[in-house]
Amino acid sequence: MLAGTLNKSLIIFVALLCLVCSAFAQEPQPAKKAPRPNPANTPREPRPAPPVVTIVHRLNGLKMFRMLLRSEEQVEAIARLDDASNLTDEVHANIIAGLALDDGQTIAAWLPDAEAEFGPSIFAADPFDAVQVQASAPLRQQKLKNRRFPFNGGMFGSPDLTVIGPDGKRLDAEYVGLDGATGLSILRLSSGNVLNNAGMSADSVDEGQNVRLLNPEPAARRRPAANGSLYVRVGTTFGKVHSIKRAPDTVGVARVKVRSPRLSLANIGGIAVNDAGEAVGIVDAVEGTEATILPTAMIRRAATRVLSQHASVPRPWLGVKGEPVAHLSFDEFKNQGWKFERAASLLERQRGILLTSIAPSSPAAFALLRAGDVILQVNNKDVQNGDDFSWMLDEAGPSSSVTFTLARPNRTVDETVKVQLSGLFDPSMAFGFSSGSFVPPSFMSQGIETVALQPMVAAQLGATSGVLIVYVDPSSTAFEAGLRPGDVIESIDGQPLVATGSPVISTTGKPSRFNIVRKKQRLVVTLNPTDKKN
Amino acid sequence: MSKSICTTVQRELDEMTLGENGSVTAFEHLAQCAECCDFNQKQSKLREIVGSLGMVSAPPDFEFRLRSRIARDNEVSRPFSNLWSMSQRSAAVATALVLLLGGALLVSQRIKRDTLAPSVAQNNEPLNPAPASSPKEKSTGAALGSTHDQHTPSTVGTPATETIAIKRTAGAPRHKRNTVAADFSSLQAPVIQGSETIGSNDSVFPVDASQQSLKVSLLDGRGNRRTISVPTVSFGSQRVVPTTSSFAPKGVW
Repeated sequence: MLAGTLNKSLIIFVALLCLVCSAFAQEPQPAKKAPRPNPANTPREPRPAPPVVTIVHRLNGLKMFRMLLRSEEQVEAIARLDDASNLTDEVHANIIAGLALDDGQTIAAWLPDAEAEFGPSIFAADPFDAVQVQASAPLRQQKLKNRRFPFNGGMFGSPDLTVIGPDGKRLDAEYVGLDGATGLSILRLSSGNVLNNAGMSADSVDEGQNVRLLNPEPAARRRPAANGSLYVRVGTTFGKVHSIKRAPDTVGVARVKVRSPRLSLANIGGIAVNDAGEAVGIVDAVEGTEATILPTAMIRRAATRVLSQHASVPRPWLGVKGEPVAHLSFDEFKNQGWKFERAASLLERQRGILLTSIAPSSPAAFALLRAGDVILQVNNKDVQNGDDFSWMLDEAGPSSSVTFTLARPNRTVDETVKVQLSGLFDPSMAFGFSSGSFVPPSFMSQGIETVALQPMVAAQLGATSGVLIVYVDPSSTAFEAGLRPGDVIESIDGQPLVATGSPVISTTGKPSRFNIVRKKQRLVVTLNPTDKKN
Repeated sequence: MSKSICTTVQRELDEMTLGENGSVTAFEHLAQCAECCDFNQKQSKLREIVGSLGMVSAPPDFEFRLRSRIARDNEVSRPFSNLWSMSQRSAAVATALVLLLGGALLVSQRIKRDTLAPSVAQNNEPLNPAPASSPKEKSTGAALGSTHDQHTPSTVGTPATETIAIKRTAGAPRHKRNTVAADFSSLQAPVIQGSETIGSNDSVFPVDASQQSLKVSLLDGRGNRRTISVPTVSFGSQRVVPTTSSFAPKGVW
């Protein structure tokens, strides 16, 4: 009985379904059913080409040695070199994205090997002064203020850079300088090579917005050409704006955080663009699934700094190490000589930077800042954390004067101190040149960077022994005397140079005679100790 | 004694785990402050109680018992289960028939519609504003045009768009279910694989990578020899050799 009822209802149900199906089939359909939007296709809608170029930065063997000397490797001497190696030939090419700015001629890029184009003096606090000049404090302060870093042509003229436009066309470009605050290299295209698609930068960035990170990468479907060419394309990683960090002052957006499941260190230096193809910024850090973007407004400011001086611009340098108060405990305050009650009051407020170390001969040292001081304000603006402090100093700029409000362990009231900032590319170098290399200080003082050679390698270069010059400061007397990168110094004033020995360069007014080997030819170069230029 | 000190010390005591020692400063404060000392004792006792709790584990036949209980409960809750199993087969056959019938109807409709497709497709063409994109991308762009106007501002209000709207109304009957905006913000960000190309930046160009690689043996200060081979090409900001210099070191100004 029950089974019969169920069968009947089933037949009615089937009949109804048939009716519905036929009615649905007779309903007029749209001309072409739109595909269901799916997240993978969403950003692939038509869009203009973003203002992204590809930059190829080539390094020769000598530049690579420079990188090795400044690396974490302990380098005492070169023990072996391939027979076929020619140190002035290219040995490495770095391929990275560049962002074309508003004028269509200025390119900003985060070149990882940019420092190979500079001498060690750009990173050291004051290497020449440290060895030779015993100037008075005000004079040294004036010298620090007036330090300039014009790009002096590297070792063999301009850096070997090739800029490739979005259409694959090669463009001539000049390296203008390095911006120390951001680490960006600024390039300038020649007047005949203005990019039409430049200047497309996003006015605003919103949380949750889609972005694409564009990076050059090997074209996977292409085989390497027979002549050794590598096919390159601009690849994309999709992400979403996760958070926006605003600067404490009027700078606006300071950093944009983007999340994507597929991020790697290779994304650093990539260009972030929105769905409209407008540039959002350049990736300057990647941590796990989160990338930090330096926004276009900050990039423009960096370019303006470098272009206005037509030289590299260091970041403002104070000469301190410190920790944000918010990250500290009682004990760390106590170690710096703080009384319990005052430390507790600072910890309660959770703002300021506790100074833990002061670099000798630095602007902080001249202003009599001491370890244990807490910087509460810069130009009457509260310092909440380390990022705030960096932005405030960057805003002030190198060679500027700033007023700090300090809390000191042995004082009950806050003090104001005026400090004349200086400029430096890597402030950590001021706390000791941490390179593992054994560059003799007397060479450094002459603006020469060298690496020692084992006899077998020296013989490959046509010398019996000696040191290989990898850099000569073009403003030094050594350069003026004729010393060049790639030369091997065999002896000075008749004294042969052994691999690990520190050479003695005359400082008594007598000229020094350098016996060198250049392209397997022996030459003599006379170097006057007068060092007016340095 | 300052209340702020007590608050800070109590916060530290509260965050301590079992067996962890507090800072010297906190202990000095405890020696002077009865309130904080009392708080510390309470916290220590609480941590010890929590730490002394043993592990709770299920009996070994727990899973078996659970499954048999579920099965028994299901039996009880289905009085007509035998009857249902009898009619189940016929229902399945009927559903399959319905699906076949419906599918056949849909296929026949599609065949009829395809004969009209060229003229309609021509009408849709001007909707795609990008100069260089594949047909697949064009259709996607058209589909999203109404929901993502901020992405295609050039098409909004232009004469071309208006013309299309009129043609659609007059020519083809409008589908009742318009394109529905979807929120993808909760979905994971899509990633294009290395072998895929993107719409506007898909040019592939050769870069000379014929340079010779550098292989060098270095002596460190302790008499050790290390051979370093530098790759001929690197992509992005990865440095070939890790350098000590940094443009934005943390905690150094």
